[in-house]
Amino acid sequence: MTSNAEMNPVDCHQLGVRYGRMVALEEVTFTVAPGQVYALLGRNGSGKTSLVRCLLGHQKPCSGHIELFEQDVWASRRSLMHRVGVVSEEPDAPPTMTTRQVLQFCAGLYPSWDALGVEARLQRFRVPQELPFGKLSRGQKAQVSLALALGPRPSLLVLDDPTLGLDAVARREVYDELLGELAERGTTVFITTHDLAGIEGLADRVGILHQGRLLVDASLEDLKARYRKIGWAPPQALRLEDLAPYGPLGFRMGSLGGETVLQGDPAPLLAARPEVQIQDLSLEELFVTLVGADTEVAS
Amino acid sequence: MSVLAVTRREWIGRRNVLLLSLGMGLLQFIGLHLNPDPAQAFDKTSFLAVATGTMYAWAVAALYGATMLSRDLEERRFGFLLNQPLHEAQIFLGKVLAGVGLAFLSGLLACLPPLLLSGFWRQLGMREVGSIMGVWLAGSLVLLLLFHALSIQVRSRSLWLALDLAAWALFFLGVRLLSLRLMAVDGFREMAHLWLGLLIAVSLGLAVAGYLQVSEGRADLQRGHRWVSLTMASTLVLVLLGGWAQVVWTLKHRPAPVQTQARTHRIR
Amino acid sequence: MKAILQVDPSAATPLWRQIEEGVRRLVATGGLSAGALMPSVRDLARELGVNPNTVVKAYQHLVEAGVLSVRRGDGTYVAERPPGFSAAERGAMLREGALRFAATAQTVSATLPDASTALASAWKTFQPVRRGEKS
Repeated sequence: MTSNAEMNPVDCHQLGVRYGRMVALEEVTFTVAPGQVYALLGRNGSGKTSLVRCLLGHQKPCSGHIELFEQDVWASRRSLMHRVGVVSEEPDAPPTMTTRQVLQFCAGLYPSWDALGVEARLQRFRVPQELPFGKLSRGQKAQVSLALALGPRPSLLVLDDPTLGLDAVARREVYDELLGELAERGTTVFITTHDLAGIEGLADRVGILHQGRLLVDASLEDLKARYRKIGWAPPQALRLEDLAPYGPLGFRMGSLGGETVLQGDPAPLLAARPEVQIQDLSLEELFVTLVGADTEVAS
Repeated sequence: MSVLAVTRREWIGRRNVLLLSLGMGLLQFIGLHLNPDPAQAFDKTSFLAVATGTMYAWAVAALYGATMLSRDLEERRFGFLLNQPLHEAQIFLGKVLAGVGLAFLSGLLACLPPLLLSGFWRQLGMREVGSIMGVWLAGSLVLLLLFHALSIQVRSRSLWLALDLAAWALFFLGVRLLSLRLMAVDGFREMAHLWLGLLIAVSLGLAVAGYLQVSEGRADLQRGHRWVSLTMASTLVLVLLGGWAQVVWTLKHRPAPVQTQARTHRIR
Repeated sequence: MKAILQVDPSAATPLWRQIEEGVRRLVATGGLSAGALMPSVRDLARELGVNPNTVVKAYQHLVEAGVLSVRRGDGTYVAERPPGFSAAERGAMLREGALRFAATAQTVSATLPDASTALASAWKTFQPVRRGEKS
């Protein structure tokens, strides 16, 4: 475990980014605690890319600031990168360099490098090290990028949609690798992803970005307590008015019954209407409900 | 050293350039052998070889400058370097060194085969070699920085390009005016000094602009362009003012009238 | 372990609670015998595909409840005398299961006697494996 257990790996405060008149991010505030897995979700165009670029010191925010380990990332990028491993959305290692050359390049830049671990990972993924990086398959590129990011034994791992475009096997391998890393060293992880099903078991805390604002910033447990899905079978019928005190979202009624997501504790409703049952609510469904229909979310 | 690691990384991707230059050198080498009059050919070819080498080195420098950062930025590959514990100065310096080194080596490969064969090199003293090398290196550096700035200005497709065009236009017009002023009083030596001074000052500006593009613009091409524009515009204006001041001072202190009249008499 | 302990991230219950309940159930039914070695946090996390922090939390709760005990340097073991479910817990779990069963029965328009018969025969199939423990 690192000795920086007291410092928050990520501290984002009132982050704002605009391109001309277009507002990409507005008043985004969140924190990632040590050892946490924070999943940032959002539709395309929600401002995720801008957020990640500000997070890594690639872009200067228009307002607010981001601190990694209590240092401003724009000003102290170089020293911070010693303990931050990054897996970009598009594998961006030089395509003409072989994997081995890229490895040597990266290894030489860090004071301590887990050469055995990286080598073991590449062997496990059966990546041909003498092939130019550009000629590797999509999955292999992702695996190499992850292996490289874990080389310096980072305290913080930032993954920008690491499973984009990967087949199911490659995706599983990435998550397995991540899990192993978490179990072994308790690395803090900040991950953006569209693979909501895949991240559901891994994430401690979830942030949902919508049109530049952080709509949700809560632990998964809190989310489960805050949003419940209920369903009922025909011939029972619940009306939207009956559900009004519970803040219904995504109300659906059909010939096969109805369902809705409720904000708040539905215990009184369940007691009054025993035919209504609590149903499983996946992260994906919650996300679509919150972000798909532009509904008002009670904070 | 991290800077050299960056340099090496640039070289690995551009080995083809060196192969090409070697090819050019060998072509000239073969051409020399095929010539019916070797003795005369040797002298001419040696000069040609050095000239070709220079042009080739400068062309490589310019092309490298045009792609060393702007292409990475456009293709969103710059993140790779930014995610390493490298200072922006190390990245910039590493890339510039790579470009200058590549240009120098390319020029050498392009002109050495015919040069060695002709024996011309035996006639060259250390001083000549030194000045040729110096011109190569300095020219490569300036062209590299220039084309880097230009490629940023063009590739970013932002409105700052308008400021760039205005600044360059103003600069060239101003230099032309000043040169004409000096030429009118036979100040050719002063003009050469002026041009050299302008070149050095603008090169310094280009170096600063290039560095600022990396350190302030980082992965944002448009933001980098803004910094390049502002730096270059202020540099060009300041340098022009400096040049103008120098010309004014020169004209004040020249014993001009007598010589001018004598010249006009001669023309009549 | 994966075959007998399943977790569903979509379920309303938090993951760590699902693991906790799953382990308690296994211990209560004899699937995990007293003194048995539990898989390490890392191994269980990998098998279930969940964040190791989740497993840590579950294990912590289980240790506090006395279901598991930690032998320093050795690992986590099932306690020698693991407590069963408390009366309150048992009541809540039975109520939850009963509600689900009643809803299913309603769906097929079954009467209470029919439902009870079905329950009785299901009870017989589910004779759990005990190792000399109270039923």
